[in-house]
Formats: sequence, structure tokens, C-alpha cells
Amino acid sequence: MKGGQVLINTKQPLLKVENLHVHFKTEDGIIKAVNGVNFELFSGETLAIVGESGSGKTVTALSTIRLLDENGWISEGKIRYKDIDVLALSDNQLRKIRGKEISMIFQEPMTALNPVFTIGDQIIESLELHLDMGKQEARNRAIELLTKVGIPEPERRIDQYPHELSGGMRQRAMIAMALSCNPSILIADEPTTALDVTIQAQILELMKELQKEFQMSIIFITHDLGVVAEMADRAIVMYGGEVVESADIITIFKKPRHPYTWGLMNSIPRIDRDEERLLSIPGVVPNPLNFPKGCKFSNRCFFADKKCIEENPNLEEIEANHFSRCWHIDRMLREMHKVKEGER
Amino acid sequence: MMSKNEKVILEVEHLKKYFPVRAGIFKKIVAQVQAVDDISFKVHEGETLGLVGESGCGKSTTGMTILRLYEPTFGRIILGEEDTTPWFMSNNEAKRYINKMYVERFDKMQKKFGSSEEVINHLDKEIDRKYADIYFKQGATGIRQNLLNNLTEKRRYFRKNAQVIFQDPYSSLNPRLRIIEIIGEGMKVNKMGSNNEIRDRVAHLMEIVGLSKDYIYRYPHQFSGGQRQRIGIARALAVNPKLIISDEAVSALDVSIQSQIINLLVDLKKEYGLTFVFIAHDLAVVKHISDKIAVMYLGKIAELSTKKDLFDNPLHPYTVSLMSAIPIPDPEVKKKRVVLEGDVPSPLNPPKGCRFHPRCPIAKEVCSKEEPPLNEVEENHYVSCFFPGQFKI
Repeated sequence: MKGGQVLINTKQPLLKVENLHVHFKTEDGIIKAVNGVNFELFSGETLAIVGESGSGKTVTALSTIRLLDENGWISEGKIRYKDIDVLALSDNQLRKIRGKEISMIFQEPMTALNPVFTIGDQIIESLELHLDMGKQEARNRAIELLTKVGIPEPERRIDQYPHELSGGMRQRAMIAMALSCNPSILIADEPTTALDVTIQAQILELMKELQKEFQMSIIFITHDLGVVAEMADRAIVMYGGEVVESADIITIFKKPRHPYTWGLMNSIPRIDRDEERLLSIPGVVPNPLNFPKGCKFSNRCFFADKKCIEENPNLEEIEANHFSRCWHIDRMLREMHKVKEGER
Repeated sequence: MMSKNEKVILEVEHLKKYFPVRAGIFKKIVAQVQAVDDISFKVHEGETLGLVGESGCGKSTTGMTILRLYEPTFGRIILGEEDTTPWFMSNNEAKRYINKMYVERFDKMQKKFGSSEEVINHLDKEIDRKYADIYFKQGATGIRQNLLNNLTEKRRYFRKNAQVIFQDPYSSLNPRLRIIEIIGEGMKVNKMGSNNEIRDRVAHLMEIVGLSKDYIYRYPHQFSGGQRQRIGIARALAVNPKLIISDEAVSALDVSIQSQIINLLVDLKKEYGLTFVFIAHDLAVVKHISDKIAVMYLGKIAELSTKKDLFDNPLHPYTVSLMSAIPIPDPEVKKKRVVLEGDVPSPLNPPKGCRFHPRCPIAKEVCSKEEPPLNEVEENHYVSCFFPGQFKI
């Protein structure tokens, strides 16, 4: 099983993405945003996709329901949801899956919600469309959902417009909408990034509760390692349109085996520690128009040599269910303390 | 670091900034947004004060008001040894301010204490003694002249000495200027050298902030976000300011770039003894960079102390809740969390009494009736709460 990973071998994955390549056409040329990504999502788990801007994390997740901008296309790869070949679906068939089986929440609820419809209208629409509910039934169900996501006075709020709600309430409304059809997968794209930290705490707690109740899997896209540690069962770390490391959450934090993952973990200021100095990964986040040739991280890596610049390593299973894309894991382990000291 | 005799660079007293809300065809003022409502603090030389809080707490408004990008509604802003408050007011306002702040106050004190020497003896603050001395020697005209003469020069002095680094490195650099002009502009205005000297200093500054000096003739669009933030930092440093206010300077950056800029700021601070007001919503970032921290909530300071005291012994329930809300990047740490209910109320209509009481886990009756003052509960540890230290998790 090259490139994939299985948490519990006996289980069939709910979603399986193989060798995904996504390209975008822009004025400046073709952007190869995602290059050969593999991952599996199992029932009931939370998978975090971690990365910085341009890493391809959002595009990877959006591709699973073919929700790409018009200038983007999946040039290669397989996506299987349950027994369905997602790439072979017609637009009509796809619409039956989107929002019903796999739904999404976004970073900025204000842009994801339609400003000219009340939040009730928007939830009811989805219920009528996907579940064939009648008006009154759908409205009752919508009120029930708003109660579930912790919106006070749902009977009144249901007739309000998105702009009448605070950021946290809007995010709750969007979650209610996403959960309206009892999806088996929820894709959450930086759902708390725009929120204040006390509101973020509310939303994260809410998502955990609802995941249990609705028994769904979550793909959590984020750059925030704190949120990853708190929410995810497994994580894949992306850099330059590729997966550079993936493992269960404890392994990824305790035994990172890719220089980028390790660098990232050590470059964030933490409230639970007193670091004199942060590790700083040199250089800039690469432009997807112009990724380095060999290993995408080679030009910023503390451990890179000529081989890294010339040849991109494969994503190898270095121990059970722990994958890393690096030529020099041994060197990293030998020298990482020196690098950290040197930075000080 | 916090000894009393150390030089104070910035002192803010009872600062208020209200924004009027207007409505109707006559644009009548119907309400006031109390963005900043009576806050006071000092920043010593070489010290970094972190201002932290959630959206709408007034941290950025505080910064912008100190910089006089907003005119304060009330309060005194002292930079170095000078009261800079009237420098940016209209003539009438300035006179009114001086009358109220100094003339009337000193007259009243003179009536009470008799002689002018006694008045000066009874004044706590050096700056008040300075202006009292001027007033008693030269009268109201003298003090007015002292505060309002050569306003152009005074304003230039202020602009030179209070620099700012903004959040968005894309909109805060003029796209039509080259780097040499962006960084060198302040030096030119303040006549800090010949063109050649300025160019050399710009090149030197670029190296200090980690940019190649070969880029000196480039334009901002040729740089990445992190590099632009370095340009913004070099621009702030260029004129040797007494104070730098940084408003969410690292918030828009990717994680790996953010640590580069944080390290740069820490290095510069150590190397050049810079004095910072560091405004950010991210408590972890503020903790990393600050010596002292003020936690703000709805236009007020909830808690103010050294970094160590704040984290070792947070006394305000809001500080405790805020700290507990931050996810820790360690899956094995299972922390206890207080999830605060509800949203931050609008500063248009802040709750009566303690502004935090509707969300406070330990609010009592008094909290909804009276506003707790910011008290020094322990040495250099200020809290505005009737029950400091009583909420623990």
C-alpha cells in the first residue's frame, strides 16, 4: 500500500484518495497545487490536514467533493467515497452527495452564508432538497438543529439574516446547516481561524459533541497546531502540494520525522512553555507556480544536501502507519538538538 | 526591569476614546461606542508592554489613539518628559485642555496649600511638578506657550519618536515607492543626514532586519509578506524612535514566517534596547515577546502585571478563562477548560457594573451594580475585579 495508511486494517475507509493531482490555470501559468496526495478517512475519526498557505491543504479537501474553482481540475487520481467513484459522477449525482453525505464548513461564515436569505431559509432549503421534507417539518427540524448547535432563542434566530448574528453565532448556524442532512463526512476548512479564542473554544467543544452525536468523520483543515492537537486523531502535514508526513496525533507531535513538521512544532510560541527563542525555519513559503525541483522543502531545510535538491524522496512508511517523505531522517535525529542550540 | 526609578518612556493616563454613532438627516449623535474607556499604564525604557484581548476590546484603538491617528476623547499621553496631548488638538481645544489639566488644578491646589512650593511638594508626578513650576513662574500664558509653541516641530518630534508597525504588510507600504524611499523617508524629513548617508543607513538597516541590501531599489510588490514586514520594521527603526507600537505585526503571517519575525523583534529589542507596545490577539505571541502584559476586555484593562506574575498567578477570571481557551499543541496535555458562554458584548452598549460580569463564572450581585476599579492587588499586579484570584481551574 504505497502512500496510503490504515489505522485499523480490518476496516474499510469511508473515503479514499489516491494519487491526487490538481492543477489550476492562471494568467501566470499552470499551478500544480496538489501533486500525488494519498489519504484515507475512516468512519468516526478526525483527520487534520495541516499546512501553511499554498501547501495545497484546502484544495486537497475540496477536491474530494470536486468543489474546485472553474480554472481548476483534477488531472489525475482516484477518489472513492464508500463504493462510489466520485470522479465518475455526473453533476446531478454529485449534488446528491454534496451537502448530504459530505458537507462543509468554512472559515468565514459571512461569505459562505447567503446574505439575502435568513439562516432558516438556508437550512430549510437543504432539508427540502435532500430529505424531501415538507415546509413545516423542515422548519421544525431547523429549529431543532439550531438548538443543537447552541443558538439561543432558535425560534427567533431562525428568521434572522446572517448579518444579524455575531461571528460565533454565524459559525454555529453554518454548522447547523452542514449537519442538517446527517452527513457522514464534515469537511471543516479553518472553521475557527477568524474567531476569537474564547469563541473558538466554544466551537471546538461543540464540534466534538456533535461528532459523537452524529457519528461523523471530520476532515479538519488548519494551520493551528494547537487546534490539531486538540481535535484530531490523525494528521497529515502538507508542504508544496505534497504530503510530507502523516501519522496518528501522538506520534506526529511526539516523534515528528520530517524536518518541516519538526520545524513547525518548534517555531510556535506556546503559553505552556518559556522558550527563550523560537526555532525559525529560514526562507519563505514556496510559491506554487515555482516549487523547488527535488524535495520541495530542500531550500529551507536544516538537513538538506545535494541529493535533496536533485531528487524528491517518496513518502515512505518508516514505522507502522507513520509516513515521512525525507532522505535524511537519521541525520535529522542526530543533528536536531544541535540545530536548536545553534538557533539560540 | 520594573524598578520605580527607571525612565518612563510612555505614560497613558485615563485614556478614553469614544466614537460617536450618528443617525438621521441631521447626523445627530445617537450613541457613543466606548472603544477605550479610562485606561492607564506606563511603559519603561527598554520594556515591552503587550496589549492583548479579543476583538472589540479596544487594544488597537488604544494604539492608534496613542499615535494620534485618532484624537483621544479624554486623557493624557506623555512621551518622554512631555505632555503631548495638546499637540494635535485644535487651538481652542488645546487651550481648554491646558486650563483644565494644569491651570485650574494648580490654582485649586494653591488655594488649599497656600504657597506654590507647597503645591509642587504635593505633586506626585515629575511631569506635573515640571508644568507647575512653569505655571507659577510664567503664568497661564507661559504654560500655554510651553505646550503649544512651535507645534510643527513638536509634531515632527512626536512622529519621529512614536513609530508604528502595522498588521498588513501589503497595504502599509506605498507601492509606488522604492525600498530606499520607504525606509529613508523619515530620515529625510528629520534631516538625519545627506542622501549618501541615508542610503548607507538604509542598506545597514536592511541587513539588520535580514534583507539583502541589493534589494534597496526594489518595489514592495517584489517581496513576500514576511519580507515586507521586515521592511516595515526597518522603516520604524530608521529614525531611532523612543517608542514603537506594533499592531498585530505578526498576525497575518504564516506560522513559519511568524517565528522569523518574532525572533527578529526579540533580537532587536535586546540589541538596541527598544521600547515596544506590542498589540496582538494571540496570547502566546504576546507572552513570548512582552515583559509586561495588559489584558483588555471591552475597552478596559482587566489585569496588568509582569508576564511572569500574569501567567503564574492570573487573578482576573477573564484572564484565567482566556488562558484556558487557548489550545495547547500537545495531544497529551488534557487541560481543564472554562468555556465562557456568550459573545463579547458590544462596546456600544457595555454591561453595567463590571463589563465582564454577564460571562463571568463567579459574578456576584455587586458585579452587576458597581464597576470594579483597577487595584494594585500585589506589587505591580493590577486587577479590576471585586474577587481577584478567587476563580481557579
